[in-house]
Amino acid sequence: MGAVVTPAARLLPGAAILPAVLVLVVLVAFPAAVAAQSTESPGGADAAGLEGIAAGTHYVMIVPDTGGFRVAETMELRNTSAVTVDTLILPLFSGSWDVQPLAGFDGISVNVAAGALEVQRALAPGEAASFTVAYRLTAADLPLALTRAVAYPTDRLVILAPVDAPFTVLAGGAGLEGLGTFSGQEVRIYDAGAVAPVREWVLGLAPVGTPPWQGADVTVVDANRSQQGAWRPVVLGFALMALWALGLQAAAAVRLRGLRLPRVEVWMEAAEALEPAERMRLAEQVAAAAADLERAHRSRRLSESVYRRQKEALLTAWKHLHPDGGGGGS
Amino acid sequence: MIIATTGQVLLWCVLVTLAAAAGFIAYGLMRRQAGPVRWGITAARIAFGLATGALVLLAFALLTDRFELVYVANNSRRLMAWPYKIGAVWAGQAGSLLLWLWMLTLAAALVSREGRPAGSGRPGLAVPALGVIAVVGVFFALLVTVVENPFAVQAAAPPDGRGMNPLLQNPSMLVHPLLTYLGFVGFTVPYAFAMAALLTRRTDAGWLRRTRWWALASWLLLSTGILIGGQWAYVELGWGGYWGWDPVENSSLLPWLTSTAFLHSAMVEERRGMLRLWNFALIMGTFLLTLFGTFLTRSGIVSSVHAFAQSPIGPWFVGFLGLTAAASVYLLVDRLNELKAEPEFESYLSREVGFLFNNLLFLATALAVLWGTLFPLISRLQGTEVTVGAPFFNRVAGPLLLGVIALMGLGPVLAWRRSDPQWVTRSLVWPGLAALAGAQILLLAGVRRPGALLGFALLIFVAALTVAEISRGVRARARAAGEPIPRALVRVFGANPRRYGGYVVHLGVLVLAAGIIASSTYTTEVQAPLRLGESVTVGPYRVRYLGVEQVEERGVPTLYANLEVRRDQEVVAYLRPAKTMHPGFMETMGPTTEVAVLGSLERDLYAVLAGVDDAGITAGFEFMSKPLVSWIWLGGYLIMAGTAFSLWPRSRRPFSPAVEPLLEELSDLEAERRTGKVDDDAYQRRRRQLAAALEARLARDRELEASFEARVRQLLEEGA
Repeated sequence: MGAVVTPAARLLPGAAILPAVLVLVVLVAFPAAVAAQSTESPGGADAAGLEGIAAGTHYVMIVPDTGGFRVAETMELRNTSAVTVDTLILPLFSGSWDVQPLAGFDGISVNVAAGALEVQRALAPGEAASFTVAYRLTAADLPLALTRAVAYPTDRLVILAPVDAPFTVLAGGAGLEGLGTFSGQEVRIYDAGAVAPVREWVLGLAPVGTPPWQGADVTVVDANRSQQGAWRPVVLGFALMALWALGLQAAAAVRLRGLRLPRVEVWMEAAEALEPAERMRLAEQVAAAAADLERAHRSRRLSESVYRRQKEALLTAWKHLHPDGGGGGS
Repeated sequence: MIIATTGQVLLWCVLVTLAAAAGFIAYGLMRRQAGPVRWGITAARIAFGLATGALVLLAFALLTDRFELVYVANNSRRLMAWPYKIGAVWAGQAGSLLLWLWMLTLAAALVSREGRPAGSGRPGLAVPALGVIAVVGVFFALLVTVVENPFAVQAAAPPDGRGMNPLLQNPSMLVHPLLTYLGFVGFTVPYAFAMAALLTRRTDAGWLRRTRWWALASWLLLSTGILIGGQWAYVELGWGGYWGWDPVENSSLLPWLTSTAFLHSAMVEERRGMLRLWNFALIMGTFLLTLFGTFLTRSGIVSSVHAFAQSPIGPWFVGFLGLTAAASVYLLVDRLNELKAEPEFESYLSREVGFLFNNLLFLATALAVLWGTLFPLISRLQGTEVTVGAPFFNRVAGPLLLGVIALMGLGPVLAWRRSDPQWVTRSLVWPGLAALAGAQILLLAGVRRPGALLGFALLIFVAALTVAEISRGVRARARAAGEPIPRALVRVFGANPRRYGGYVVHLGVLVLAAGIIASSTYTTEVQAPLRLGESVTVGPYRVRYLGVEQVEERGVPTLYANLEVRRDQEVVAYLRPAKTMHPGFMETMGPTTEVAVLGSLERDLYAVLAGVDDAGITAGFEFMSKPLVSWIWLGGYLIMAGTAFSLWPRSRRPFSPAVEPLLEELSDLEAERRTGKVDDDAYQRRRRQLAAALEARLARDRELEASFEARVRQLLEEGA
């Protein structure tokens, strides 16, 4: 029926592939008109860790369907104890409905309750039995987490999904083993490895393809990347600050040196701390600069505003250099 | 190796030139000789050039991955983004001290230009102030050359560096330290002028006017630095808060509190000649607290996410702090007699008394914060370390700061010297009614907690007072000048940017306070492990977990958790909080949390990824719905805008600096008269006094102008 074509899939024991093929076939021909049986609560709580039974390879095939999924599971259980076990528990995913015991249940009483199939099948010591069951799951949008119990120690749990399924499978330790071809249809094979009995085992189905936020017309707050994007305003802010500072400096330089006037010594403002002779020398320097300015103005070599600014500056300097001038305590 | 050698040489040259600057200036001033002073000024400018060279060299070493430098290897790595490589200049101890030194030399270079002819204020202070700055610079130059040298080399260069601390790899951290240091260093300038004023016995308000710009600009930078630090803490630390009363946070708050008090009390001295001793003490306290904060951050004596590693610089700082404090206090005590003589308060109902109370509240808050910060250290000395947490600070500082806010509203209502009590009472009526109405509306809207309700009512009251005050000024202007209201508004703001910029700052504080009250009282917190596709309700949002995505960004494995956010069934956003695994820090810090915040004016949805199971099916999250957090940032921006507006340069009036304060007082008196704050008698009396003083000043100005014109004419004639 099917052939494993990828190296990863070849790793799976050939014998174990057969039940998987069966599962697929069952799903393809899944009968629609069967009375729905629903199990709402997460089942198997009481089933976890039942002693004496072990599972070999357990296949779970998940196929997208309208409003949810179709699931088919096939497993082989064997009695590893020294006594006969009368009742077997086959846990299902929480929220299962339309449960179909498909294979291995002939002439056996099956009770669907609390998220699990309770199978009245006597299993003698060392005896093994295979079961295949199909059911539906109603699910909202992806992503979602499916929960179930695992009743028996399982050698290998393999999850299969159509290659074009819009989800990827996440489970503790499960990785994509590769692709397989079953019944002419390619499937993805996820191998979760050995699983111990547990009350709640979680299987994640995450959407594949373009994330919803890409191209979405809503805010996307990306903790790390959005901060990296903040370089631009920060760098721009610095650049503007630097430009502003440079502009101010340039403007000040133009104001002071526009006419190559002799620059008044900066420390002249400490006039009162200077010897009077030194102060007078500086005052003369200021007056000489003002005379130069006046000549330049008369010969129309500078604008009215520059002339006014520079003259005002020199006048202030003159006041500073005179005792009691410029607020010197007069 | 050449970089290390050049860097070392540059740093030693900075040390020598700054020492020379201080020495020459001191010698020149003592001997009243211009030559040494000129050399000192030149040396200070050269020091700036050399320090700039050292800083650029360190940045170059970081950008070009010179891991032979210990500093580069410890703070950078090859794959780090280039802006962070530049940010690494100040991410470590030695680099940040070099940045500090560079800023000091920059301040020195700017102060050396203060004596330009266009300069204002009382002359004779810039040069001794430059000397003081040079002395402070010598200390920092000593630190970076002898104790924490950023150009120290190691025998074998590692193939790659450790990288910058992941918590610092945030755009805010490129700006926050820079602004905070600029603020800290900026306060060195008013301090230096204060010391210069005391040294030269020019203790009038000249030094205050001279450093008004510096003080306000430094306050703006420090405030902005603190605000951005809060934003960083909010998005980076992952606990949902913006202020944790951490010792290092407190160390930046302390100088902010005292400098805010100083900015207000400086106005009293400028206007009334009062609080002179107080202002000297405040600016000294502010400067000493910046040193104390630096000591706290860098000595390793406190544990904090913000602190640098344990370092040997602690004793150096303690020594310098002690010397500076001793010198400052000695000078202050020695000049006490000169500082005591000052006018007295004319009335308790005056603006200056309002400012005094505002100062007392700020100082009380600073003392409480200082006590809470130091108490663990004190208790450690006694044998048992006692931790002082946020509840102490909230309980003590909260009410005090609410008192400051109340005074912030009342202050502008009061007139200088003496207010008319009836007028003050009348002006409180409608803001009081607005507060009551606002409280009623909030109560109906579901705000039931008494503390929050009282807080909001107070904010509404103060906001109404402030708006009313602005409105009075605008209407008075519109009436007097016959202008339409919008034009009068622009003119009023333009005519007195200091006052109206201050009102904008006050409104910003109110917005910020509203954000703090709302977000600290009404935050909803949800801790939820979510499976794929599961949702949780957080405030008005429904958040659904979509899975994880692992990527590697610049060599850093990053795990994103994808969340869909709905409000009223509609998808409104996708959040992607993350965990980053920085290779050099996994052993010491583990994965770093990167928060995703969906912000809006109404509330923030804050998402933290706590952990993910191996398969990514289940992830643990911490979500918070925090109302009005954006208001905190908005208020901060308003504060910045108001302060920047106050600082905006105005065209200089052609009067001598001695005339300007009189004109300002006259302008204030006219405004108070127009808005009805002073009665006729007081107005006429004060106006006569001011006019007489102004006339005397202007007469002297005219004399000087005449002598100037005469000398210029004479020179022109001689030249002709």
